[in-house]
Amino acid sequence: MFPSAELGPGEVREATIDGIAVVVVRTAAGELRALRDICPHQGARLSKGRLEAAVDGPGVGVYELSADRVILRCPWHGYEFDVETGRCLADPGSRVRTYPVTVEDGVIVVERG
Amino acid sequence: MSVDTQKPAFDVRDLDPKTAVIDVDVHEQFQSVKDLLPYLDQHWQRYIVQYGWSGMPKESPYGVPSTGGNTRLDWRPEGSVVRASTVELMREQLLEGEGVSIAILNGMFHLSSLGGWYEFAAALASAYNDWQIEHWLEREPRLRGSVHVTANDPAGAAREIDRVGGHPQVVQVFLPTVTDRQYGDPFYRPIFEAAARNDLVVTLHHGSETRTALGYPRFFIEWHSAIPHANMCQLTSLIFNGVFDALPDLKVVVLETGGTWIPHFMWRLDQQYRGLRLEVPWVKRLPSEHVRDNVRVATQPFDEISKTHFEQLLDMMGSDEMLMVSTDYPHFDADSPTKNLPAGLSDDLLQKIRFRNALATYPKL
Repeated sequence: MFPSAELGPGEVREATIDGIAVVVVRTAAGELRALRDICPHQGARLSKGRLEAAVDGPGVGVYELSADRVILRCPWHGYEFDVETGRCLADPGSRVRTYPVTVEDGVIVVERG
Repeated sequence: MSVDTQKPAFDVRDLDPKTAVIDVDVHEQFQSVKDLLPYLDQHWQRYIVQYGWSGMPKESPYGVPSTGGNTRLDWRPEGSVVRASTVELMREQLLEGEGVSIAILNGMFHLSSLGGWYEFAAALASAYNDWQIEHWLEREPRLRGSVHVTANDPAGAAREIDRVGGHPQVVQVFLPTVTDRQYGDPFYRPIFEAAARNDLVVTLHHGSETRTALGYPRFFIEWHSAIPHANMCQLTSLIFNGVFDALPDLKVVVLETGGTWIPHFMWRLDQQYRGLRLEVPWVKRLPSEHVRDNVRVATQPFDEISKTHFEQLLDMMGSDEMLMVSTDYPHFDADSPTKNLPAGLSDDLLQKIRFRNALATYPKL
């Protein structure tokens, strides 16, 4: 799709595969993930959103940034999608499709699965 | 006063579910605050006998222009007897008169609303609880009661819940629906924890102290139309401050709020939570799931809707286990416990609303 070196840690990039809009992200830890580039809520392009560490709350008023859970946050209403599973953090019944993503000869490859 | 923790003499499970009615919103009251004198220390007695403290101030400006004022006309006793002030009146008018099998008492004495002087409020709450147990619960096995507390002294409130919450006929902790404080605030958590460890539910009910979003509107009809929103605000506070995440078995019962708002409330909170979850990450479930599992709602005053709309309402709520019948005895807008819902509902559904849902809600019923 495009050279792996073009996508740095924390970055988000839109792409298409067989006409399907996908969003490819590289987490701060360097992991690549690919998701359908459409929010299931109202169809916003998730590639226009933000890649962030998920926030957890072990108690009222206590905030902890997750060390390993990364979310892609919709630019419109702020829905959070776990880039690993595609599931909405608030409502795991709602999810974005995820795709296997690899690097071959320095180029990012997303499989339709 | 020591509290007997034996089982109640009257077992709800012996009732016939086809005809049984558990009325979850009944208001007993005293003739005068002087009824509490035997249960108060001498220091506090002086404020009533000598210094002229005569009762909780009525904060709202309204009179109720109903046929019997704020009392259903046929429940107004003759002469100087105060409405709903004796077990005999309640037996005749409610238990026998309306076919109520079990009545849950909520009182008319909102000590958590006293704006200060929490020591006196706490003494009054304890006195009221002892008076309620002696003059009502222990005289009529079909009655169930409340622990009244002073919410702004949460540690003291928790001690009071532990003191009388073990009485076999005490089934709930009563909190008035105040509108200047938020019960979800961790400051109040000891009250909810004490309720949970005593197998009690927490019940919210508005009073004259309850403001609308516009304060006290110009007319009673405006105030009375708008106050259900206050309970929605308190429920929002409980949910987003994680009370039900911390106490997943706790039930909160909302009284005198009707029930047609429930789908809107679930949808609204879910929609907000999907986008703003990261502000309240200690909340681990959709708000509508907490509502379905942890919140129960008394029917009165129920909006007059068709059978079709009622069934659609339950479908939108996603639960037929949330509603529980209530009369609001002895107030002017009391509902009949058997004629308050649209005609033609199934026997199974009516048994749930009149009996089984309450049985499943109050651990000590």
